[in-house]
Amino acid sequence: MENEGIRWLTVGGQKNVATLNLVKGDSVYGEKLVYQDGDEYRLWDPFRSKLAGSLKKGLKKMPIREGTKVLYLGASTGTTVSHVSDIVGNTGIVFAVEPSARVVRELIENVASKRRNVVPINEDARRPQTYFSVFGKVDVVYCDIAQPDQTEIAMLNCDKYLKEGGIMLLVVKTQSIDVTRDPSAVVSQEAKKLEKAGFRIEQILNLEPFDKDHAMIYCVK
Amino acid sequence: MAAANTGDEIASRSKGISVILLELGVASFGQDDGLIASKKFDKPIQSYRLVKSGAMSEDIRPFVERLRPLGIVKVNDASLAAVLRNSGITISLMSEEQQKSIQDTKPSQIVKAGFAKNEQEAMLALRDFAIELSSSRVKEASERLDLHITKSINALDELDKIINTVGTRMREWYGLHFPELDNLVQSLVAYAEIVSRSGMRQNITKETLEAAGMQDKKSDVILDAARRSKGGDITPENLAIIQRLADQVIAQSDLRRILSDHIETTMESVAPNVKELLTAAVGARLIAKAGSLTRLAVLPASTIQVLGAEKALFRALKTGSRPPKHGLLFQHPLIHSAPKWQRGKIARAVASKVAIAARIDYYRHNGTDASISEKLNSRLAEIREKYKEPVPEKERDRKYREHAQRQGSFGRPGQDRGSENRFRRDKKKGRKRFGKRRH
Ligand SMILES: C[S@@+](CC[C@H](N)C(=O)[O-])C[C@H]1O[C@@H](n2cnc3c(N)ncnc32)[C@H](O)[C@@H]1O
Repeated sequence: MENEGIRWLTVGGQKNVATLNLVKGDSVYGEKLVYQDGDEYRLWDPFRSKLAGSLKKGLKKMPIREGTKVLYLGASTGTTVSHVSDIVGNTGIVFAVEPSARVVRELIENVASKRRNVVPINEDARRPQTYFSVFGKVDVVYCDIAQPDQTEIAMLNCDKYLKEGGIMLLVVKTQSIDVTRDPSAVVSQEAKKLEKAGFRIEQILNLEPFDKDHAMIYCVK
Repeated sequence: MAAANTGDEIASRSKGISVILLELGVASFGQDDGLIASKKFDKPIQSYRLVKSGAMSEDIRPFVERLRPLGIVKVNDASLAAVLRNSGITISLMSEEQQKSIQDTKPSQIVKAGFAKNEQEAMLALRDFAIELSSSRVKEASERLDLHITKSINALDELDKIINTVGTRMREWYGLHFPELDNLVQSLVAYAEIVSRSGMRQNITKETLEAAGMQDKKSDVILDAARRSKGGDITPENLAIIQRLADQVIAQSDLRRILSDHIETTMESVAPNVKELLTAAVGARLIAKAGSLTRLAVLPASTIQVLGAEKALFRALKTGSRPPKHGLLFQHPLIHSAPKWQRGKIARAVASKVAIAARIDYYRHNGTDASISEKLNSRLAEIREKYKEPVPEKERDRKYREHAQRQGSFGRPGQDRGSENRFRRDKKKGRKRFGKRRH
């Protein structure tokens, strides 16, 4: 799959996914910059970003493209956020929620201060009513927060901010939910919750070998 | 605006004016959505945070004063509502739908309020605001906020007591006039809202009930009860005082909500891992009990397990009675909802993870470490599996009796006869109570 901001490049005989760099010359977390047809791309490491992992594992449709409005829960220091920022470009926007002040510092320094389309929100995703600076509904909610109640938190946010027909990408970390149960059982249990709440599941990806015990659920509100 | 019709004057006026808190300032709009007045914050971060903590920010005081003659105003934000209320302005909170629709059109609200020339500029301003606000929080995270957590949680507990005492007094007193209301409205705050807004039961209307947050059906039941009430009449003087009590309950509950939000946020930045394991409130109480996060980070798990149960612990040390299994940790839903015989084990598991979490929070300062709760979860699963069945009561009693006997026969330094006797008496009573046979 190829859309405006994403490109598959062959580097050293290996097919790699990369994003068109929004800030020329800037490498956010030490990733390689490569040049193709006069454009600068940032290699996107599937072992460091679950979204890149999902693309490698065959995500059917990429809901994030140029101009997309994204609510990103669990932004951390911004590894994945920076690539999402590349993809949505200057006509899109990424609201990046991360509760830990210390992590947010890096998110601001490395990503938000250089990219005008990233809005850092230092709040807990359990309390979406406290978000500041967010406006309007978003096209995509991306959730990667590794909490036992991550599915509930994600749905709470979709309820408030995701437009009708919008898409949610939910990273399910089975270890965070119940370590004693079979991972695939945990994933289908979470998928059931989503369906019960009216989401339509489009695809479930197992992220091995990039991430152990992680799945990506693609669903539509 | 059409002239307000007499009967529903209040209702129509309350639908008229809305006051909106935006990141960049405050604005009021009329029924036709036209701007009435607005005030851009002088220092947005500072003012916004002040208002969010329920305090008046001086730069908006003149704006607030000018709201006074407008009657009841609708407000989009609970904290701003509290600020206005404290300034003596009658407010009602917008419905969630209305709040959402304001959030949806925020850039255009900002333009309408005159805080930006166009939506593009408004969005940039919002982004700059987000970076600045987050940065100011980062700066604070490095200050000794854990000491403030202790004060906050203590204040919260005191507030709860005050709300309960004053609220109960108000309920009982108003009950002389409208006894039926007691059973119809559980929440103290909702009760206070009704009393404050309506006064005499004859003056309760659908509108005052709606403004107090009552559902349609509930309103009908209350109105009906008011009509048939068997309560006595009330003098204006008595009523005025009850209403002042009700206003206290409302004001203190506003403060309570703000305080509890504040504890959530502060815990998230100061002790995210402890918060993760215990919830913000229980985590904060534990820090308060230990004195500071610094202290909590050096306490052994065994001490953490019984923090808050000092009395029982000292009694146990002195008399050899059963040591407490949990102190404050008992408030944790995991422990408190577990079967009795598992609680001690769960408390121990939770305490040992809290000890690690506190250390990570104190030394590493780096967000949540999911592996702690993962390990706790797997340990809990083990406990649930292994101790499905209760340990027989007899077995446990035997252990404690043996322990007590050993203590008794060898004596213990510092143990005087008095306490030993008292212990024997306790033991006897205990037997009687549970009807156990003597061996
Ligand atoms: C696995 S990391 C996310 C990594 C990131 N998505 C990436 O790919 O670069 C999980 C993040 O979620 C954050 N988190 C944990 N609990 C959260 C909550 N309740 N709300 C929002 N974020 C949370 C953690 O602080 C952490 O930074």
